[in-house]
Amino acid sequence: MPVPMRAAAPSRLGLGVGMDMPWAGGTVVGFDSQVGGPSRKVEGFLRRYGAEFSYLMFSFQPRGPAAMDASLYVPAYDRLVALVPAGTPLVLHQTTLNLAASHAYDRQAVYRFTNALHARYGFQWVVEDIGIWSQHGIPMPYPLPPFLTEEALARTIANVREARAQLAAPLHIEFPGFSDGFMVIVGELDAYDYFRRLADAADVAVTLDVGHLLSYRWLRGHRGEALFGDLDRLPLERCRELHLSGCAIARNKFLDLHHGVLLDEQLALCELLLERCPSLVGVTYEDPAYSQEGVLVPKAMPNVHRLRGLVEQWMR
Amino acid sequence: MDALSSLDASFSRLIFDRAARERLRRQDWSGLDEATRQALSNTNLDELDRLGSAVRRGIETGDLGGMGLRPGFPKTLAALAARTGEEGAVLDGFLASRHLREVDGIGRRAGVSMAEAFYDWASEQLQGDAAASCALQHELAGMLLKTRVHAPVLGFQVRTPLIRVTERGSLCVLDAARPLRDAEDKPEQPFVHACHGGRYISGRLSHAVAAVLLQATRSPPAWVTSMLAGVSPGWLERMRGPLIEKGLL
Repeated sequence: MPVPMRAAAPSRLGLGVGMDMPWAGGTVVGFDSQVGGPSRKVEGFLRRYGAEFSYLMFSFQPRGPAAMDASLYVPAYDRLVALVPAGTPLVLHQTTLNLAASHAYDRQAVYRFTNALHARYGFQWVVEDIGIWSQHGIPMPYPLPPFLTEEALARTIANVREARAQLAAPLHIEFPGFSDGFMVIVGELDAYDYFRRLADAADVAVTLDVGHLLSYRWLRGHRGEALFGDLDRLPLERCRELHLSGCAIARNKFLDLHHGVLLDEQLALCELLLERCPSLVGVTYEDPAYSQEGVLVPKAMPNVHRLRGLVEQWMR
Repeated sequence: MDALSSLDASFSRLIFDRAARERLRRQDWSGLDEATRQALSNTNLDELDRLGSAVRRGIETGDLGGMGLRPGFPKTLAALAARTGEEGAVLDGFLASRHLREVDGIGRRAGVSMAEAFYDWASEQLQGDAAASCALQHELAGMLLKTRVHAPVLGFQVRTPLIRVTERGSLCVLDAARPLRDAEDKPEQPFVHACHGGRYISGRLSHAVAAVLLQATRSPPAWVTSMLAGVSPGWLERMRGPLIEKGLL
């Protein structure tokens, strides 16, 4: 029997939107480095759709070689938050907790930074995929899955416990991605078992990314209905949030593309999880795809509407 | 070293060191303990190669960490490539070196920048080559001080004493003709790289102007103190005036 989580689940929020926010030029998704605020594209999207989502999640992504110093980021985050209706609940997606790092990694600067942002924005929670985001100080091009070994699991449990204790906002750990073509798998533990044991031992709430779950099942050779199998091996009772970002299946590979277009398989698994996660608070549509004017791309719309319908039904 | 540290060290080598990946491809498991061999037994070597290449490319362009070595060190990379005859081998050599372990590219100020780690490695490679070492010093100074313009609070430590902090920014006085031996070395042809008031400025200057600029730093070299010891306050004010107008003091 798992240890109960420390904090009671808040009431259901509904469908939120998650935004990847890298720093680049003015026409991209993210922050415009030149103006120090959201790009025109992001602005267009949030002005058009911001009120249709019940919460906003945004990712911390480093501004080049700048220090992790809240004062350097707050002006841009203020402008981002101003694009959604006042009082919209906020969630921070961290990318530097690096919870699956097996080497010594000092997180004090990350805690200070995150807590300073939380003091200003009052995040509902802070989430990060259990992964290796940097190795010995060098950022990885994408988060790598944790080492699936007993020793690494023990280290990650300690890392998560520390982060949970040090962060002022509730911490959610997210099941990692195993997208084909980019994944270096080390160790032999089953990832579902690893994740459940981690969540129970660290007594922490979890986020299940539907595409990440499917990518792992796909990697293990499951197809069809079997993609939805073994859900009982996951810490469903600890799940507070689902993530859905655009995925594709091409040339017998499962690709976690974050391109805004949801697969039917993602919606099917989402529907199952909505029924089976008793503590669920929100469902996040991550990294929507939209035009320069901020209009959702036509290819994404049908399954986004279906997702909204599923969440509305769950909210009743 | 415990099993996890050993696995982690091997994993790092495989990401950053192309030669280590190639050894594994040849089924050469020497140097890896049993637990590490077991953990890596099902690792897809093609994906490991793709990861290693993506990391190398990101460090080269600056997509990872924001300080690209190719745009920042063009002369140094060319000089090193001319020695090895293979451009790709230059970065591979750096990535496999101990200097990479000094980097903090996350913004925690827990290590040096990629640029300074590369400088430290390249300085060793270029020993005895004055022209290339001189270019290396200028490229490092330019890169660090330009970065400071865009990131007023740097996410890394600057350890080289060649970069000096002032009240309004940072500056580095080098020699246009030869590499400085250390931060105390007096340049024959002073050349300044400065970041002041949100601007990057560089150019040649006289010894007198260099001395006045360096005197305003927290750690002026002894030759500056000596040179300015006998000057009158009026002379000093006349020298400082134009520098203040240009925002350099």
